[in-house]
Amino acid sequence: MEASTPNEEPVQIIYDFKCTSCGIDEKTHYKGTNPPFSRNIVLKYPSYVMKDPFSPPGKGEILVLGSDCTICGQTVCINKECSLFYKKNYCLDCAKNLIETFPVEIKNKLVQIKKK
Amino acid sequence: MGRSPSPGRSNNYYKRRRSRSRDRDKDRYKVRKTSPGSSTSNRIEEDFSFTYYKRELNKIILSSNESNTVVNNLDDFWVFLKKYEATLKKAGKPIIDYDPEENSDESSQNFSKFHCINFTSSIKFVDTACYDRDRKKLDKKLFQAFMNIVSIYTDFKNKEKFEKLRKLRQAQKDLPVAKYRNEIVSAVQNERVVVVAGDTGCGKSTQVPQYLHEAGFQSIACTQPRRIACVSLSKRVAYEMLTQFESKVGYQIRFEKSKTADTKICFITEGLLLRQMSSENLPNYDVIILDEVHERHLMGDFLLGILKCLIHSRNDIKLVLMSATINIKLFEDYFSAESAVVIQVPGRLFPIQLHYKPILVEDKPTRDDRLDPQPYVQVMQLIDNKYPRDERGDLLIFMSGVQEITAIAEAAQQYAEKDKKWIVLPLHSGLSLAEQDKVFDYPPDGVRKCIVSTNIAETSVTIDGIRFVVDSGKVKEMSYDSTSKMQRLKEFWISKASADQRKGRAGRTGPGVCYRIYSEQQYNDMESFSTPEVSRVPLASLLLLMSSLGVSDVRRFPFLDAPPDDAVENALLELKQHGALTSNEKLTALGRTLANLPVEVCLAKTLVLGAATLPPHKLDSALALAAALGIRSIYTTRAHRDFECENARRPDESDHGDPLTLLSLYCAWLREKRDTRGGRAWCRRRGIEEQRLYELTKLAAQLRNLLQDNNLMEAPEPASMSSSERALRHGQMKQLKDARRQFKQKAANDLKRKKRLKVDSWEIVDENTNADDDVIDIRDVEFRMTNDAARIQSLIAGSSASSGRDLVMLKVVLCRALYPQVAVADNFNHHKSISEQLYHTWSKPFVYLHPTSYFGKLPRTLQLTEADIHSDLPVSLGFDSKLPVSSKHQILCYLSLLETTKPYIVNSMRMPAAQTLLLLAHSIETNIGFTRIVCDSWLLLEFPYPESGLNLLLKAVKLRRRWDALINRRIADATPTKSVESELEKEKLPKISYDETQHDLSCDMSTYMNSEVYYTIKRLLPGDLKVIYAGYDEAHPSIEPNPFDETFVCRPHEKKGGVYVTDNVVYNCVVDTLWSAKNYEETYSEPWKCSNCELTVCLSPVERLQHTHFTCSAKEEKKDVEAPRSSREIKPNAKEYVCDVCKVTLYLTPVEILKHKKGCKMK
Ligand SMILES: [Zn+2]
Ligand SMILES: [Zn+2]
Repeated sequence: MEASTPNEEPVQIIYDFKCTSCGIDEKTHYKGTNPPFSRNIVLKYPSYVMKDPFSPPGKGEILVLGSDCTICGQTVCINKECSLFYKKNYCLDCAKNLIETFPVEIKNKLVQIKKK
Repeated sequence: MGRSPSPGRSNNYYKRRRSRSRDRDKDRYKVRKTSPGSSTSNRIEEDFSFTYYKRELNKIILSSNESNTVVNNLDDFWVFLKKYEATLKKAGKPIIDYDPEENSDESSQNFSKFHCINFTSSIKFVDTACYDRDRKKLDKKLFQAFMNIVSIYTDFKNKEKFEKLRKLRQAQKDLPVAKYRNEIVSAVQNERVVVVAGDTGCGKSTQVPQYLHEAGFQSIACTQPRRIACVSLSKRVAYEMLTQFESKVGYQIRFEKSKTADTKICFITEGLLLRQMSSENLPNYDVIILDEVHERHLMGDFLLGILKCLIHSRNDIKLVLMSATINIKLFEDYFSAESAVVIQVPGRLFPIQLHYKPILVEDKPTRDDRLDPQPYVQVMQLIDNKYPRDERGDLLIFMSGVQEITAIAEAAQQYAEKDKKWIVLPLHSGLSLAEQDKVFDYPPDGVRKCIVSTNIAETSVTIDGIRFVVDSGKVKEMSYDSTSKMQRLKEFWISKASADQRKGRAGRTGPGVCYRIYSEQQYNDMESFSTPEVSRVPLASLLLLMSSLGVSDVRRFPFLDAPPDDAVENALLELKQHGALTSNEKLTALGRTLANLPVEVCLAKTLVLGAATLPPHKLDSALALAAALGIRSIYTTRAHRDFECENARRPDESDHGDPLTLLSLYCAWLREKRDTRGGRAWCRRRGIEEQRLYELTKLAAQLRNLLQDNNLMEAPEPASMSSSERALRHGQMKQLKDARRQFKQKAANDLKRKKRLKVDSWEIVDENTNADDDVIDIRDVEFRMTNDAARIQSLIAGSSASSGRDLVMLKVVLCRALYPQVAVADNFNHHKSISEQLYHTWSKPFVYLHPTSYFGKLPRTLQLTEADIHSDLPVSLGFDSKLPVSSKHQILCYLSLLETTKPYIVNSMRMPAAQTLLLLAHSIETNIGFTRIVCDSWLLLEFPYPESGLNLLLKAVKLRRRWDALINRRIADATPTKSVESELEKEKLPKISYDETQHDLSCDMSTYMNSEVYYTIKRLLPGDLKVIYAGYDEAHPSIEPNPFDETFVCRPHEKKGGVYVTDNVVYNCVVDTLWSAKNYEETYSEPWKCSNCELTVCLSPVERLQHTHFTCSAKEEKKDVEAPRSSREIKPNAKEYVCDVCKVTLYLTPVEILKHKKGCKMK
C-alpha cells in the first residue's frame, strides 16, 4: 500500500459535479480552465476537473468530467450522450436547438446521437 | 466475499482504438467530400512523420519539468501517434494540421476537429537547433501542429478514463444491494443493530461500508473471517471510492496493516478486532460491520457476544451484521432485546432445475469403501448428450476432500480424453494460488470447464459461468474431541443450508441445473444448518483471549450457540496446565503474555519460554521452530510416496523427530539460498513446497517483531555495514528491484491477454514446475530483498541446533510448551510391525505414529536395544518388576493428535523419559524412599537403585525452580508495572545478566538431561490408580526445614496422603510394594555417613537431605562465604526467634534458625 500523502493544501475545496443528463455524481477538485495540479494542460472551456483517481498522485494526471452548458448553464458530463463540445460546451438539448448553426460535421454527429 | 475481477483495464484498448479511428476515417472522408479545400498544406512530404523528430520532441516534452499525461505515457503516446498518422495517411489526410484560424464567429461553418477538443497543451516550444537538410526544420509552427496531436491524445486518454469511471459507477448501480441503499443507511442511523442479509454477489461487502461512509460515518470497522478478504476488499473499496492512492480505506490483519490516522473504513480480521476490544485499545469506531456472520467462525461468534455487551455501554456505536440468507432468524433472535432490524437483499439468482440421483446407482454397499466416480462421469456424459456444445456453461462438482477430488478428477480426465470437450480442474486450498487461479481462466469455444472442488467454492471462491452443479452431499470437516484432545477429520453429510448454497452456484450467470447425487429423502434428513465452529474446535486460545479481555466468567458468556460444557472445562484445565490461569481461573502474568501473542497457545508458549531461556543469538531457532509448526505442512503429496524425494531429504532429517527435521530442512534450504541463486529445484527434488518455506521465513520474522513489541526480545541494533558492503547491497537491491519490475510488467501483460486454457491443461502441473526455471522467481527476489546475505547467514546460525546444549535447550523449551502432550510406547511394540506401533498419551490411550512422520517410518529408533536393557541388576535390591530396567527409556512429545483412518500422533519429538517427566510433570508423587514416582497420575517410574530416584528428582526440582525464576523475571521485565514501588522492588533485585543465568541453566540442564539413571516406566491404569495412594490418613508430618524448597511451607495432600514439598511434588503418598519396602528397610536402617563432615548416623532420606542442605558443617562454611548474612533481608516466612544460647531476638526463617543454632552451639 502506498503511504498516505500528507495534505498539502490546508483546505481542499470540493466542487460537486452531477450530470443533469445521466446523473453521474462525483466530487471534483477544480472548476475552470487552468487546473492547478497539471499546469501543462489548459482547457478551452471552464470544466470540472478532478485529480486522476486512477494514477498515483503527483503525476499531474487529471480527469475532466464535464462542464456547465454555455447556453442554459446545466451541468453535463463529457459522455457524448450528455453533451457536445464544439469550441464550447453544450448540453445535448441546447445543441439540438442550435443544430443549424453548427458545421455539417457536427450536424451529422448530432443526428446520429438523436437516432440512438 | 467473492473474487472480483481485477480493477485493471480488461478490454483490449488498442483494438478499441482501431475501431474509433475507423469512425474518424469515415468522418474525414465525408469532410473531404463536402469541403475539399479545407486541407491546405498537404503538399508536404508524402511520408512525413513526427516520429522523425521523436528525439527532439521528447526532449522538449521532458524538459517542461511538469509531468502530464504525455510525459507519463511517452511510449504509449508514440504508439498512438503512429497509428494516428497511419489513419490520416490512409484517408489521404495531411499529417501536419495547423490550428484553425481563430475567428470570433462562434458557430463558424469552418469545421476543425480541434474545435471538438477541450484540451490544449501549454508546453513551450524550445528550439532544439537541430537542423537536418533532408528534413523540414522543427520550428514553432510545426511544433504547434504536433501539440495538436498531443491534445487529441490527452482528450483520448481523458475519455478512456471517464469511460472507466462511468462503467464503474454503472456496475455499482446495477448491484442488487444498490436498491436498498437508503433503507440500509436510515436503518443504521436510527437503530442500534441492523442485519443485512444477502447472498454472495449482491454487493453488500463492498457497498455497505461506502454507503455508511457517504452518509457521514467517520470510522467504520468491517470484519472479515479471512485475512485475504481484508486485503482484497480494502483495495476494491478504495478503488471504487477513487482513493486507491490514499489511505481512506485500509486494512488490518495479523502482522500487517495499511491503516493510518486518515482511515475511515478499515477491513479487519475478526480476531484482531477482538483484540482491540479491551477498553483501552478500542479505536473510536462509530459503526462496526461484521461480515459473513453466517459462516459461524469461532472468533466471529465470540465477537458477536462481546459486541452485544458493548453496545449497551457504548451508545455511540452502531452494529451491522451482514450474512448470507442463511439462518437470519438466529441473529434476529440473538439481538431481539436490541430490536435488530433485518433488511433482506434478494440475490441475482436465475431458476435452477434440481435433479436428485440423476444416475441410477445401485445402493449396494461398496466392498472397499472406495468412492465410485461413475455417477459423476455419467453426469458429464448426460450434459454432453443433452446440451449443445455451442451453449456455454461450466460444471462445478462438490466433493468432500482432496482424495475424493483427485479420484473424480482422474476419472473425469479419462472421460475428457475421448473427445476433448472438457477441461478438468481441481480446486482446493492445498493448491498453490496459481493453480487455484486457473479456475477463473476461459476455456476454448465448445469446451467446458469441469471444476472439482471442496466446499471452498461454496462461499469463499465465486466462479462465474457455472451452469451445472453436481453435489456429492458430503464434506470433510475437522472436529475436536476436547477430552482426548484429538482432532478428527471426518466425512459428514452436509447441511440443508450448504446443499442449497451449492445448488445456488449454478444460477449466478443464467438458468442452471443442479444434480444431487443423493436422494431427496437424504436431503430431508440433513441438518438445517452446519455445526458452528465453536462446537468443533479447540477452545483454549479463545478462552485465554476472553479471560484477558476481562470476561469474568467464561461459562456464562452469552454465546450465540454455547460451546459444549466439557469442551469449556477441558480447555480451562489445559490453560491451567499451561500456567496461564491459576487454579481459581484468574489470568496469570504468563497467561497475559500468552494472550498478547496472536498465535496458538502452545506456539505462544514456545516463544515466551524461548525468549526467556535461550540466549538472543539462538532465539531464532525457537522462532523458526514455532513458525515451522505454525504453517501448513511443507511437504508436497509426492514427498512421502516418491522414494527419490525421501532419499534426497534423508541427510537433513533429524533423528530427534519431526520438529527438528523441519528445522534442519529449513536451515539446509537457507544454506542453499545462501550458496546458490535458487532453491526451487532443491525443494522439488525433496518434495517440499518452497512457498511454505517462504511463509515460514515470513512468519518467523513476524513472530520476532511480535516478541519485540511485547518486550520479550531486544530490538536488534542496526547492523553496521562498511561502505563497500553498503555499496554491494545497494547494487543487489537495484538488481532485485529491476527483476521485480520485470516480473510485474510481465504479469500485467499476461493479465491483459485473456487467459485461455488449453484442453490438456490437466498435464500443465508438471510442465509448469519444470519450465519455470528460466523465468524470474519472484518469491526468491522478494526473499532476497527482505533478507540480505548477512541476515540469511544469521538465520542459519541462529536456527541451526544440531547438537550439544543448544539442541537440548531447544528441545526442552518445545517440550515444556507442549506438555502434557507426551506419549509412551506400548509394552508390546517390539513384537509388532511398523504400522502397528502403539502409543499412549495422557489424554488418549492407543494411538499410532503417523506414517509420514519420522518415527512413523523408523519406530525402532524409539525402542530399547538389548544393550540398552540393564539385565544384571543385583539380586540384593530385590527388584521384582518384569519391565525392562534401562537408562534409555524415551517418551514422545507431540504437537497434536489427528484421527483420519486411525488416531495418529502428528509431529513428534523424542525425549529422555524420566528426566523430562520429573522436570515437567504437573504433579509428581513419591513413596517414602523415592523409589516409586508417579507422574501426573499416569506414569509410574520405578528406580531399583536406592537414592537414584531421589537424586534425579532433587535435580529436577531445583532446575525447574531456577528455570521458573528466569521465566518470571523475563515476563516481569517485559511487563511495565504501574506502581513506583514495584519498579523500585525490581531495582533492588540483584542484576545477574540474562546471558549468565541462561548459560548456567543450559549447562546444568544438559547434564541433567544426559544423566544416567536406571528405571522402569509403566502406564497406570484406572485400577492401578485406585490402590497406589496411601490416602489422607497416612499424612506425613511436615518437613522442616524443607530441603526441596526452603521457602515452601509443607502441607498435607487432602486425598492421596503424604505431604507437599513443592507446589507439585507430594512426598510419601505412594504406597510401597514388597520390593520397595524391603529396599527402604535395608537402605535406611544402615548408619549413614555424610560425605562432607564426620557425621555418621541412621537417617531417613529426607533427614539425610536436611543434613546435607542445612546442617552439614562443610556446607555451612561454604555458604557463608557465598552470601554474607549482613546483606540478607527479612524473608516472608521469617519468624521472631529468641536464641536460648545467645539470648538475642532475631527475625529468621526456619532454615536460618537452624543455622543460627548450630553457629551458637559451636561457640
Ligand atoms: Zn452525463
Ligand atoms: Zn443547455
